[in-house]
Amino acid sequence: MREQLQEIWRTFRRKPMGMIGLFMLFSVVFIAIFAPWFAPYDPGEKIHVEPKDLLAPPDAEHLLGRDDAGKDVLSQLIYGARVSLTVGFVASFMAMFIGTTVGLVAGYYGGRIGNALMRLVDFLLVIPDLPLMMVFISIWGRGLWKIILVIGLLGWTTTARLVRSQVLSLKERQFVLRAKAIGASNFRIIMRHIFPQVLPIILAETVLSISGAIIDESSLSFLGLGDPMLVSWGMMLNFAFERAISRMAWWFLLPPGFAIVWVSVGVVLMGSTLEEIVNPRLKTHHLFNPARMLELFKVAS
Amino acid sequence: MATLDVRNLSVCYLTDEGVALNAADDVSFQVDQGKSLGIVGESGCGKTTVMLALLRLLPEAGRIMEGQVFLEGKDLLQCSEGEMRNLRWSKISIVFQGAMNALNPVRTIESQIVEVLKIHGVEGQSQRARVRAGELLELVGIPPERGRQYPHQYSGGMRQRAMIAMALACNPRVLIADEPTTALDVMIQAQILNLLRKLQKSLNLALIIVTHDLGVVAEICDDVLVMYSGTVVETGSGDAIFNHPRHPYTERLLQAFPDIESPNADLVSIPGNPPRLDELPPGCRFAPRCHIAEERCHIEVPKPIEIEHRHWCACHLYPGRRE
Repeated sequence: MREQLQEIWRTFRRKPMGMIGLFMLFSVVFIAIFAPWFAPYDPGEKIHVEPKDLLAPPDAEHLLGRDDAGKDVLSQLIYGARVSLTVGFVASFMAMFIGTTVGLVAGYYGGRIGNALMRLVDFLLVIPDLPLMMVFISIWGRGLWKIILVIGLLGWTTTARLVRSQVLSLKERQFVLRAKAIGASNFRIIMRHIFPQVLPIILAETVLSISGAIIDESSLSFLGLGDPMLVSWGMMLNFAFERAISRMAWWFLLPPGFAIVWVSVGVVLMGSTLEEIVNPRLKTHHLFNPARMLELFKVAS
Repeated sequence: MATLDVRNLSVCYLTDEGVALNAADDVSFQVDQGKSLGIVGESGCGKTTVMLALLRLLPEAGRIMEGQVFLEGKDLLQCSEGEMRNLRWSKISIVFQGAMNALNPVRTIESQIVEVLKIHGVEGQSQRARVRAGELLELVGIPPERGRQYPHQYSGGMRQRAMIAMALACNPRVLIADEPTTALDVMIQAQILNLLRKLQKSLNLALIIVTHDLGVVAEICDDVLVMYSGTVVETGSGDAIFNHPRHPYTERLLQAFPDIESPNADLVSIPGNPPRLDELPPGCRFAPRCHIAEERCHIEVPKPIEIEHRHWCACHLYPGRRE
């Protein structure tokens, strides 16, 4: 399994698009982690404002201007990255976990359990996500973890289908029969023999789904269903849309929009590069890889 | 008592329409400790099906209709699934057809052997299990340090050896080798066969070799069982089958095989194809292709008759026939 991941990384390193995506994502992750060092002001700090400070355009002290309450937009943007990324990562890992489990079980066992699970997937797939999320949020109330939960609980369907289709073909392979013949239990076969083989595809799928989760969160916040205690990028868009657009305060509206696009593009570049690498059809034989050849000689001699 | 005693085993495959196709009918044989049995027959005659049925590893559509499989006196077909899981590999193990596909491509050979040892509690401790895996690899002539490599880094012959090493991990009583030499070139075939023979003698295994290559059988098997379309047509010692075949199918099969002593002899092919499983003839399954079939061959199913000691033949025409 480790060997496999190293192999992926070796190939990934040589793909400029993937590396650009990685840079775009990790620059934001870095800024979000060290937000207090990067942000010129603390958004939670109480400040004294004069009427002329409200929605003041960018200047040397406030690089992206001020919002309608006189607060620094850049600082809000930097702290907002924390919320958006948390939602993006946690929700997509949750979706991946559910999707993988469902896909493995449905694919391996098939039969009634598999059918029941796949019908549930179909059911969730035909309902548009956003309205359903809105319904859930309005029932449960607004809050960061509730948003994560809703996105995670509704976003696993494609992963489940993808994993299931892989498992359906993998379980017919002979090494699975051999594993049964050595007396391995079903759980063991799934975990040790099948899961490692779908892992790369899950990885690519997860990375791709991060952008989906960030956009979902932004949409919910934009529609006013975000966590009222935390300012995410979507929430900033919501405020800007309601209060700043009439006064042409572009410095309040554009930055969060660009930030969302930046992260999404980064994630998609990374994810599609990963997908390209792990897609079995694009794999080459080890004999065509000179580095691997040398390695083989070393091990053999 | 034979180590492995299979009695009247019948296997069906159920189609989606609910039709049962009889893939193996009334198959019986015994293998003793230290002896080897060769099962020969054309492709699709049910050899592999019978082997998978012994291990209860038939594909989903496969059903064991009747029969008993006694392994050291215990009926495998009556065991619970859990008992069966413990018996697999520890008592009866199998080298699958096409070893290249039977190894997990993303795990090292060593880790796959260690897995076997751990499942059966032969070696619980990782370090000791790895040492044992190395010993097993050495036994089949692979340098232990190559256990760290992945299946794709092995040649076909090495993979087959690795599979044999894995099959021996828990000191089984019975080893089934399903087409152990298919897809290997002749030199490697000879190596693998020598290895199997050597291991069988030194470990006192009951060995079953499934193959369509009569040369392999002649080389290492004590007994031979000839299958045709899911039925056993003839069984006996290697000598009896090769030198005094009684069943017309065995006869024609031997004639279809080149003989090194008379290289100019004509090779005779058997006209026609084995019957489809959904259109089995009512009588002897070989009758439609048999050159000496009589009327009753087409109507009545022949029962196996013991014509000499331990030499059975299922043919109506036998008693009246001379070589």
